[in-house]
Amino acid sequence: MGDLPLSTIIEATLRTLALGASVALIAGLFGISMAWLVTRTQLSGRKHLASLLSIPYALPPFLLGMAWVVLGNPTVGLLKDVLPQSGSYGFWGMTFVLASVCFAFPYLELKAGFEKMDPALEEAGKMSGASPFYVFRTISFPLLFPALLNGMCLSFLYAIAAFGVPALLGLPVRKFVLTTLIYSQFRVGGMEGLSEGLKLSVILLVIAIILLILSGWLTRIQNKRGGALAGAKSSRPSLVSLGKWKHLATFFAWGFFTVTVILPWIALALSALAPIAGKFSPSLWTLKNLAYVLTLDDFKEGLFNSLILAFSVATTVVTGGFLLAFSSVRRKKRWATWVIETLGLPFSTPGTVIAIILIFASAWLTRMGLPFDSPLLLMAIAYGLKFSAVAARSICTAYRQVHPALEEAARVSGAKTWTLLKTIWFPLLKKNLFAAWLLALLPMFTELTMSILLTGPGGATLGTVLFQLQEYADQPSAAALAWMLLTIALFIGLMTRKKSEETT
Amino acid sequence: MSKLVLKSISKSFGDNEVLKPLDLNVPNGSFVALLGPSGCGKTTLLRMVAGLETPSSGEILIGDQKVYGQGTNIPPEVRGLGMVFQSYAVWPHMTVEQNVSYPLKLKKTYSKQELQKTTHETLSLVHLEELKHRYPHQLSGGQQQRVALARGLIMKPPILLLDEPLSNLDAKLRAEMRREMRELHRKLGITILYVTHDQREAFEMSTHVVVLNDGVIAQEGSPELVQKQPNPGFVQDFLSEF
Repeated sequence: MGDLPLSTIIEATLRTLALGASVALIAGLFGISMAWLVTRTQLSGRKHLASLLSIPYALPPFLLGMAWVVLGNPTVGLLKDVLPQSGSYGFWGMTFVLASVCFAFPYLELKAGFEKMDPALEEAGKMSGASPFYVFRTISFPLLFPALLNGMCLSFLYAIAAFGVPALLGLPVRKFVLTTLIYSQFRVGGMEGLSEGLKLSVILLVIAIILLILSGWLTRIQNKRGGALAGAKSSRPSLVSLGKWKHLATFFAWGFFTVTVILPWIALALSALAPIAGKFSPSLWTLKNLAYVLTLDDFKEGLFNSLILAFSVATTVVTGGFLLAFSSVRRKKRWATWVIETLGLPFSTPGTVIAIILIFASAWLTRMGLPFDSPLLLMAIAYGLKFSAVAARSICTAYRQVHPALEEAARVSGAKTWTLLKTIWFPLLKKNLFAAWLLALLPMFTELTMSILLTGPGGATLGTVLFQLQEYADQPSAAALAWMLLTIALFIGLMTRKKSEETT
Repeated sequence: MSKLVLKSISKSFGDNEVLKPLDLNVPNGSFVALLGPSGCGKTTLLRMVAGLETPSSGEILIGDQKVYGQGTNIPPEVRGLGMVFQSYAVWPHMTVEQNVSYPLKLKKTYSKQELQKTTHETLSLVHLEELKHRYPHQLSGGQQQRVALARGLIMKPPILLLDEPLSNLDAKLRAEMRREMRELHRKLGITILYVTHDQREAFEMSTHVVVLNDGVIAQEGSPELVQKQPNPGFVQDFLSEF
């Protein structure tokens, strides 16, 4: 293996762009229809659905990808008779699975938009004589368009940076995207593979940066319009009675949730309980796959490492975020604001690129006589870079929501900074800090994209163990592990959903 | 002759009876002020006339057409009324001109010239011709309010509904707008239903005052009458707080 042919690079780049675009389009389409249905219509069970639909956001797409391998395998898949001949493999399989997760970006943006919008804006349209559809077309849609585009940008960014799903559904049929091509070059090994990987990373990074600039521009437009959107709310929005469409819409909306979340869970469960791949009959169900995975040394190592990494990095990140956000929001310290903003860069950088940069840095330091190549240390740095921005931002928002007078009253009583943090801010923000901690911890726990490149002897994580089980065609064991992880993720998703309902 | 008739209209949200069954006649060409403290049900009443809220019982007639009652419920977009919202609800993605001409464009019967002419006339009525290409975020609160007013007037609606339109303006602008609204009412001769908690607005502009308290009409009559002979009890107390 020498230089990668240019045609392969171009093909992978084009496929990456096409994947991003089609995921963004499908996610946008579903995002806006779901957001409208749950906020503006008399859909059956709309409030439950509204919060359930935010769950995919927290599901590791790799697990869903594995479920779709079980469902869509062309020879033994559960749905092989329903799906087209290639099953869930190939470009459209990747698009579908990624869109089923990414739809949450436009959905959450638009749901917030609909909820924030002054209902009088739509009522004024009705009073002018416009039908509900015309009101949507000329008022609601144009007002929410920047939010929609922004959500689609995020979906695009997420799709081009994804590794697990293209590896599962693309590699077996040799459909490379940039992230999987980088991985395969890296596997070649040596400086040669690494430098090819770096070249490809630059392409990926450039695409990401262009999107970020676009998204930043859209956010500015949104804020300009947002001023009017967040006006005094005079009334609750009236809900469109869907008339004869109500049953169809309810079926569509709940069906969407079933296909994107419940069906994959069932598929993994069936596959985990089956004695061999493809034998799903209940009479043959067995727990031996689950038991087998739990006794694997690799699994024990992966679980231990993932727990240690996720807990220690999330705790560090939240502690740092608590202090940084205090300096930035409450003390208006420029440097703190700058640090928080800068953390947004690695957050938006594809994980593959971060990992490749870290590998280069570590190789360089080692050559300089500073052995800096422990996989766990590199992963801790990578996780910290990638996932601290979300935590820091949510903590900043929490600080802003508390009236400054609560702190000022304590200062007037004589409390100094540390006392303030300890006696006022920490107790007040406890719940938000826990939420931020979970927000950082969950993606770390099942992280794959960066871990797979940084892993090494003694550095297995749950993500890499799962990936290797799947790659070595031990599908029942892989499904057993994936099923357990997906169940935990769903459980935490449901719990945090309850929490957020209570606080609002 | 009455332009708007409410017959034993009531409204409950769950167990909470916001409006007890009440009757109201709004004479043609009158300027009726619905006056009362917050939470008395005056905005709910206005929104039921608009069709944005559904009454729990009763009938609503506009002109001689029944818009609500006994199985009829004409949706707001077909009632053909004008309305100005407390938050103005000026669409931020449209220019002043686009905002104001929006209701006209929905009626396909207007030719382009007519559309331009009517828009121009309405804009000059509220002194906004100069600003017609601006976007709402480039306007002051008072100017946005005029946009909302022009949009409500452009169709020459049989009734113009106003929901606390001046409450977000400063004292000086409020005085100016009170004068202008009175002027507009006189010039156009339209029927106005005006919700406010400010007695000064009610007494200075209206031809009829309806005082609401706790979902019940506490007193109705000419501004002079209500001012000079307020009903003992609630109305007297409410007016003396001034």
